[in-house]
Amino acid sequence: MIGKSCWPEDYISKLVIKHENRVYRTAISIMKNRADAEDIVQDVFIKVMQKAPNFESDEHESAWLIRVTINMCRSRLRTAWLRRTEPLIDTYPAQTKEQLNLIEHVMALPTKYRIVVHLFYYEGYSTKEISYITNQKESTVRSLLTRARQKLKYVLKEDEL
Amino acid sequence: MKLYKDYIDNISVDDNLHYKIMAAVTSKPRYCSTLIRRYATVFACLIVMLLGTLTVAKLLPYGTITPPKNQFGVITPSNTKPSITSPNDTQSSYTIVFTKVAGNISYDKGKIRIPGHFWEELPSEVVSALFPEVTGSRTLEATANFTGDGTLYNIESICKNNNGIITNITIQKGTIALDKGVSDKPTTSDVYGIPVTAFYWEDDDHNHYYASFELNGVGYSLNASGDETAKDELSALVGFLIKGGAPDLDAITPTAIPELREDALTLDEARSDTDFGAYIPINIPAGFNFESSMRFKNQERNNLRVTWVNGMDYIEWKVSYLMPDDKPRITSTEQTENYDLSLYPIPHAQSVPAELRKIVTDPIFRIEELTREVVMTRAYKVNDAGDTSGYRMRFSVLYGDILVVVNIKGADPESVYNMLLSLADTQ
Repeated sequence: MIGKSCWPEDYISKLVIKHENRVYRTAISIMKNRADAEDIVQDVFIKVMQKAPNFESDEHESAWLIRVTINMCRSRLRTAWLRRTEPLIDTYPAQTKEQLNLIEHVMALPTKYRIVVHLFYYEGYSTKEISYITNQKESTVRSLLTRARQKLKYVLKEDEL
Repeated sequence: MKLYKDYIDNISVDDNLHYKIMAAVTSKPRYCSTLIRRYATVFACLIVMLLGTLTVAKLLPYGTITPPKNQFGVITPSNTKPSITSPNDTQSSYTIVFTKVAGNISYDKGKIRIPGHFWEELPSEVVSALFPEVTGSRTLEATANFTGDGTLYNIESICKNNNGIITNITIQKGTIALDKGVSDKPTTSDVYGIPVTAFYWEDDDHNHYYASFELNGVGYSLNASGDETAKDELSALVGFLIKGGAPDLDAITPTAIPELREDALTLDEARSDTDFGAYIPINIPAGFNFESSMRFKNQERNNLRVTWVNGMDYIEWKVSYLMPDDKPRITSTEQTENYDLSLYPIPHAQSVPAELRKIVTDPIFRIEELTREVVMTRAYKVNDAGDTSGYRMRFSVLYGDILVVVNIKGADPESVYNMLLSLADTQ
């Protein structure tokens, strides 16, 4: 149980080092551009400093950070302040034609699909965990995943091998 | 979604961003979000503009506003810090202004999709003809990239001077939009009558200098990293290249067009494939039906893929030669930390150490060591995925120098083991 009053001096540093890549990757996958993702990742860790939640476990800590990241991304996407910058694939080039093809298709998915695809396929969360993180019904998450798979069906065949 | 995982895995927080995060969380007064900061910036600008307008209006008796002398309404961006260079070894009078820009740029050959891409290293006499003013004083290597029909796409070269400074030079027909990912508009300089766009950005270790120009329909881009000497070298090279004149790129043709295949095959045709057909299993688990097969061959890839499906379940089978990049993923079955998924709870992004991520995601076993138990360690179920609930598994098996990659959902591990074992005598 770690709360604001008893956080050691270096706790936040360790927290940043431990989670910055996951938070950044999640933000990148939702925002689709580096500039906004960089803002989001900073705001997420500022938020964790402000809230100083009592994390019950490592899993709770991870899920909390991912949830905040997603909420901040959603909030940012609703604003007029979304930066018009280069596509993600330009900032982080794909290594192969197949990867480029898949990433372009994934990034073309609507945000709600992209979020569950990232959490399920990259983070490895179950649909139950995703429903908690995204504050949606589990059946909704399953439905989103199924539809996302259908949309990606053609490129997924090439991706898996 | 392995390609997606690989792609995201390659994205990470760089040092600059890490320091920004640490600065944000350690400087307590900065608890306002970037959004608020942006609003604050806009409001501050509006207030300054309003106050400025009111002040100027008060100072002008007749309500007219006259710009001060020598100020033509041009606003220089705050982050534009011109850096003027006079290359020593060109003995010329030109200067190139490098505009400082924020962050990385987008140009990278990895994102370029060249249809049927293949390449050839160019012989020294061709390199000399391409860069006549450069080859006498620097070492140069050049690669020509071609599209599948043998048309030249571009030439990428690496130029090294006597001080070891390396400059990358790319030339191709038309303009190279090197600065398309740059947020700040770079300055254009005149070099022997040719407009040259140049800029640089900084990271913790180096400055990264870029320049581009077009000469008689041929686009050039150059980049070098380092201190001021890298900038001087890049500036000198721009002068040399312009003085040397544009080459005739139509003269660059491939010595041979490599075999390119991207064929859809029937199962019989796949099994008859000379290179890999013998590694397609005969006995497939009940319920699975052949769906498709593709034969790929180009300079980078040479493989045969077959897919069987059963509703939403699938067996995907890829056969290729073992490549040097694959070798780090070969594991002994004794090193369970390299492959045993039961050691790593979901989410794997958190539980698998970064240094083991690639091998745990796709380990390669030698067929001589493969056992039912090893296959079982790769099998897992996801019961609540909005999908069928059978076993999933992904791994590769090495038969001599032939690599078989399996990616499966819905087949039981015993069947998969038997399919793999049935190929053991093929070697």
